[in-house]
Amino acid sequence: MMMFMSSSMNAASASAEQATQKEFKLPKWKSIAGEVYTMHNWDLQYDLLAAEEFLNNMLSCGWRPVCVSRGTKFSFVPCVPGEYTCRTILTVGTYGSFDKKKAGELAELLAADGACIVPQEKTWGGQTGLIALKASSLGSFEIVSDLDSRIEEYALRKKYADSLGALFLFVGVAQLVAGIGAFLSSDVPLLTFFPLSVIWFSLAYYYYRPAPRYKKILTRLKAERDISET
Amino acid sequence: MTDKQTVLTEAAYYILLSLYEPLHGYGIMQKVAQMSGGRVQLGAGTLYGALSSLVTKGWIVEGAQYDRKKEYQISSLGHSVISNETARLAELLANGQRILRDAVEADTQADTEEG
Repeated sequence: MMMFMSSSMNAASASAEQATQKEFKLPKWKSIAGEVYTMHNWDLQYDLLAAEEFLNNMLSCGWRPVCVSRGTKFSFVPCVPGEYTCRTILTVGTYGSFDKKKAGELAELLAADGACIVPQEKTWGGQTGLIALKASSLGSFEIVSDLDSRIEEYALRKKYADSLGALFLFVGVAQLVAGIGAFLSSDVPLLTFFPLSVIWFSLAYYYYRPAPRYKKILTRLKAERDISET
Repeated sequence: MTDKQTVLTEAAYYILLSLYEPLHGYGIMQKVAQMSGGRVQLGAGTLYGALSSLVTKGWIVEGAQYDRKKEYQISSLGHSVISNETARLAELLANGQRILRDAVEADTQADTEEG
């Protein structure tokens, strides 16, 4: 992208840029307040990997995230394309709840290492991940730098997506069954329960959605480890 | 109790080595980078995970806390682990060097005889 922006770009970099632009389209801005541009993206809800890819694409197009609200509302300010790299990490404990100690210690380590944390506000059900930016001029940026840690991180992400997806699916089904039971045995209208089930099913979908991609990444990483250990 | 068969990851090995003096998180990252000539750059997540695991195993201990920064130091158990691991690596290295040297010598001898 930097090559594209420079005056001495060649044909190869220009065509690569065109290909990238075809893959990634800049979102429509919802609001603009001074230098801060805001947009909504529901697809990124509870999906750290997708959020990281999206934010890196935005950074390479010259937009630096300054705040994430409710996991779906992203605010950006202009920056030099490719000036920063974005990485994310899940900050939940063994039982899937927000791990304040982990988040705090990681944020301090990242700050000491020259990275800055993108503030998140109005998070639903607690903040579950850190979004960090680091200037590309400071060198390569990885929060999880070795194969074993990467496997651990993606295993945790998959476990989190699987268990919360299953939990909300179970609650949704239970709600629906209870609703049908109440409808059949009394005059309670089915519509009293149905919308609640839809909410639970939607939550199950949103939480579970990234799990297959995490599984694919885990399989690849484990294969890499098998090769390196052979 | 020390497990003599413990195989350390590169990150864990360097972290243990760096903690012969008390260091906080970022100090460990810098020390490891310095020891490995910049080759091993520990990410914050990797370091956090490794420190939690090493503390749980009792191989390092948490020390004083200055300005919200916690210091860590190697324990006697950690010292035994790293001694065993260093001996294992030394054996690997010695065997590797011996076999490679023999192979090179055999090649040279074969070349001389052909010539």
